[in-house]
Amino acid sequence: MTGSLEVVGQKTSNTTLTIRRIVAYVVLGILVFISLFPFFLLLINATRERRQVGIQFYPGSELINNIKKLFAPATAVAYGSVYRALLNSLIISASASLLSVYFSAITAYATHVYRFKLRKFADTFILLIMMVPTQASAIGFYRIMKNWGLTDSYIPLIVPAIAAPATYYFMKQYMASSLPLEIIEAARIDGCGEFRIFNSIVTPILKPAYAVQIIFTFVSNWNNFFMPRLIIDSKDKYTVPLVLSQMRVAGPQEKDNGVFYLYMVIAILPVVLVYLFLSKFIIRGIALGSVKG
Amino acid sequence: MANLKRVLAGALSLCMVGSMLTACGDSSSSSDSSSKSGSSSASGSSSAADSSTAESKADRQNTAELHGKASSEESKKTLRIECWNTEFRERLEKYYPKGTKMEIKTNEYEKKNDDGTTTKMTGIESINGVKIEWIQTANEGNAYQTKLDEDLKKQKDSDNKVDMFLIEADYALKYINGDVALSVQDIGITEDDLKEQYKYTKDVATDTKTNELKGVSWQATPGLLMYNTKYAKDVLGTDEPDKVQEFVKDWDTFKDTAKKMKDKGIAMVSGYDDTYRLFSNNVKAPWVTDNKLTIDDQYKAWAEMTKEFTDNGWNNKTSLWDTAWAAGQKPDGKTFAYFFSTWGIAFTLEGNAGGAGADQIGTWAACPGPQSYFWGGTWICGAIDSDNTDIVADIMRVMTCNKDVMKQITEGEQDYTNNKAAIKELIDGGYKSRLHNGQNHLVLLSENADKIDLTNKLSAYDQGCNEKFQAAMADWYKGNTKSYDDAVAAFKTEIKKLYANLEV
Amino acid sequence: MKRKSVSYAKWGYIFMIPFFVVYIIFSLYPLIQTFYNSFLDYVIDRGSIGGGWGAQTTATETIKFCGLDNYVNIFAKEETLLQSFWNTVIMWIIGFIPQIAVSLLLATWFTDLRLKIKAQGFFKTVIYLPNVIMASAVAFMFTSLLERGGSLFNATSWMTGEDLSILDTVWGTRGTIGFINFLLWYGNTTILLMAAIMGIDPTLYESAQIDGATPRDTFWKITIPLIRPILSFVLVTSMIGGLQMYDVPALLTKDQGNPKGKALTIIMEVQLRKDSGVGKASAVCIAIFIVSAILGIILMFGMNDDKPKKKKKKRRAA
Repeated sequence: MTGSLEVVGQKTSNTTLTIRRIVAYVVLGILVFISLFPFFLLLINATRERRQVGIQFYPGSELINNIKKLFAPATAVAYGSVYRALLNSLIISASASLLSVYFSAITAYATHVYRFKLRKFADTFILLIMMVPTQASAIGFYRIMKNWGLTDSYIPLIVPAIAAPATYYFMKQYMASSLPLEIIEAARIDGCGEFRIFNSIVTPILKPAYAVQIIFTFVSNWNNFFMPRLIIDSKDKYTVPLVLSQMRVAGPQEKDNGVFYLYMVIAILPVVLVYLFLSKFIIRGIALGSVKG
Repeated sequence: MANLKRVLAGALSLCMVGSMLTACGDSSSSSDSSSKSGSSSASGSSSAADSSTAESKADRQNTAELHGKASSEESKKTLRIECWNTEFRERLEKYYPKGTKMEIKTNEYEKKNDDGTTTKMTGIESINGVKIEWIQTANEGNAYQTKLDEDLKKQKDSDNKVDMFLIEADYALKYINGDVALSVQDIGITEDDLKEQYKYTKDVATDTKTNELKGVSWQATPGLLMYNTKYAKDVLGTDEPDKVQEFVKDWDTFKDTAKKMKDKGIAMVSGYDDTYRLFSNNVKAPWVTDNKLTIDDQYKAWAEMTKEFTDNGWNNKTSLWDTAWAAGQKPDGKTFAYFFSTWGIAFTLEGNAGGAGADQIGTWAACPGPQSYFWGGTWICGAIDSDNTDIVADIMRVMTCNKDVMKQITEGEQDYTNNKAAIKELIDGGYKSRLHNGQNHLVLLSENADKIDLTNKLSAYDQGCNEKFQAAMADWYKGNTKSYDDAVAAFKTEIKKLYANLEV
Repeated sequence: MKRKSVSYAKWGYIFMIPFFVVYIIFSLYPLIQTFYNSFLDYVIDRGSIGGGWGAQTTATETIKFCGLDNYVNIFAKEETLLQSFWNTVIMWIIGFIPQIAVSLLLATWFTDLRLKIKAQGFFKTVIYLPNVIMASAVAFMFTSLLERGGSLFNATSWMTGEDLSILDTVWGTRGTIGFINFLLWYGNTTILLMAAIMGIDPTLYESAQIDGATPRDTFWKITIPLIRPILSFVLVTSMIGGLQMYDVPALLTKDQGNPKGKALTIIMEVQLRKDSGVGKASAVCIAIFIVSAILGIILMFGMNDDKPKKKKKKRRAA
């Protein structure tokens, strides 16, 4: 009796498990579809003629023409040069992410390794300013940059990255888990200077954390629209999202949505590829950055 | 947590000390600029463009003399031109050498075309040994004006002077009424030079306080009603411009025709904003007088008519430039009429009607429409304290006053140039367009251009007012706002955000 | 050894110099400036270029001290600032509720030992993928699909009741913005929550199962209480991010925040005003700062309070 009851119980729980599993996969399937569909649409429409874009399921034959049009000088005149925009975004994103990671790491290193009076204060202070939105000081920022003649230059887009509270916080977490102080002590005994210890002994240990943060900062700078829009005026200094927003602006010239879709593909391609190659790394990074938050 | 509290207390006191410091610094520097301006009053109602009425020369600032810091040798050897696109540059490079006596040094560059081929372009490197420098800033998000304002404000104390800048009608008065543009007479352009230009193009660039002309344009941009000849024939029984005009000659007949079109499933106009310029060019008072906003009856009339059109299904509910708006210009686009000014025909209609090369623009013909209006255009101004006024004057004279050059521009670029004599010669010469039956629409354009009068119709705030009014009214048409009055209230709120100094 | 470590202290300060110098110049100073401006009746006349050439000197700016007027005016009846604040909150909620619900569900499934979801690496990669697209591109795509003449126009316009794009209606626009925010962020949240759930002692689930607990029981009685710190982290950071919402609504509504200003976010409002009503715009900025700071402090207190609880529970469980 008891035995058969147990079997029945097992069976129902097995069926519910199967049902749950089916539900889970169906929901996941829908989400995968929703998440991938924008990419699919971008790719398909990039190959189509301007009047045939939309929700389409097979590619058109206009890819070559769209490429020609996108890189044509007329497009550059109307919206800003695509080459320049890619280069500009690359310059800004690369320098901002390198600066951000290096200086935030060295700051985290300072509060992690050294014992000094203001250590706690600095640590709490940085944690606090992490919550302050950049936009809150946007007006003051813009007017000050204008007074200093720094508008329409990359300095306000790159240099502030040095003080990145979120990156600091991430580095701090990482150091707490993977940077034993004994290594530093040992290096000191070997007679290394403090800078050299950081640059040639600590940095290699932090490599994985560097990588994750470089990618995050790179992506957020690459996609940033707010700050470049505030600061940049000249077309030849436009970044990728600014050129895109130019295309969005209505104007008398014929709009060619096929070309715009192609531009979006090119605009997101670099980050998507990097992400796909390093996705494991990145996903671990996201989790690491906040668990103990 | 004790730490956190300490941080907060510290941060707070730091903020306060900091703000006190800045307070001291700023108030001293800003006190001299805190007087209120009463600048943009449009009191002078005497006929514009007559600069000889300017009274005491002593008060005038927009003379060719130097007011600020002397310019550097390098600045004297450079002609700096501020612009937002390459239109004027291309015109200048192509046509200026044909009409000037100045010594031009050219350089060649290759311009790649859309189809991958290249065209050899001849650029101008220098004029009389003065190098040309183009400073191009995008128009979007007000960037061009921001940049121009900054450079012009610096002009006095800078030794590197801007020589020339371009402006558009919607914000022209900001520069024309300010002390930043040279009076063209002061740099040697005479009444005689200007006599063939259309009056309205001078209205736009005339200082409303001193009646001095401070900018000139090479193009005039009168507009016409463009109609789909196929639908005209089907519904009205004729596609002859003269006869079609009878069906659209004023707003009442225009509405009657709209009913007929609707019965055949065709929209009279495409969207909300198509008829806007016809009304806004015929107002009695500008948007802003003495820092006070007024909504002219014409704007109300436009809004109420458009609401009627929308509710009756006489339009396709599109917005200017959007995909559906453009699609209506295809030969089978189910839309009867569009309002286009000179550049719109070549620049927009031609592309949307079927693409360059196709003959589908021939579906369209032009007639004068219910009211005369203009739309768009670019004006050239000489910057105050320019160190190359002779070249600035010569460019103005060649590009905007020289009949032969103007004629060549119309022939070569499909621009409608700002020279009545040149246009008349073209009309008499039997000009043929790419419109239906090769219609010579220059005749109609020139008639409409003559009728436009902009005396006391412009303010420096028109750009924002036009945009915000259209946006607020669109919410009424779409049913998001209950009534016209609610839409007006929303409009005023938006204006207050955009122009906080105005009384709404 | 001790003496040595004391002498190293100066390096702590040296290493922090770049960070703090840059922070003070590019963040703190602008913030102080904004704070100061918020007490001024500071208006720029955009229709006048000024220049001050002499006789016709025209001023383009008027600056007066006005105390707290700007802050009081935020609440004035004719102002849209409160409306914009609510717009922002509403659009945040529209995006956040499905985001947290879906993320919790996925995180539970992915970590469910009995469910054994396969190809987890693939799923995680895919759901995070939208986060790397630039918001401008997504906004661009949605507009071109939903606007009149776009290929989703016919499929969606019936929802408006009349022949309009859903982007012409208040809730259509808000919904689209919320959906885009959901799409961009749910992957990120899922991964955060998963990490938190995986940090829970698996024996807890095992013993619960032996006691006959259903998945629903374990979810509400074990998972949720134990991941509360991370949930509040997600909530607060998402709120602060939501307050700054700009890219998507700005691009989707062409900076206008229409229909009827009901999709105007608070930062868009600041952007619209910054060239003319500087004083008031600054006051709005400071208000955003204050709200964010309060949220941030709540988060810090909340997390500190959670720690002992977590320990207690763990002890009890053990």
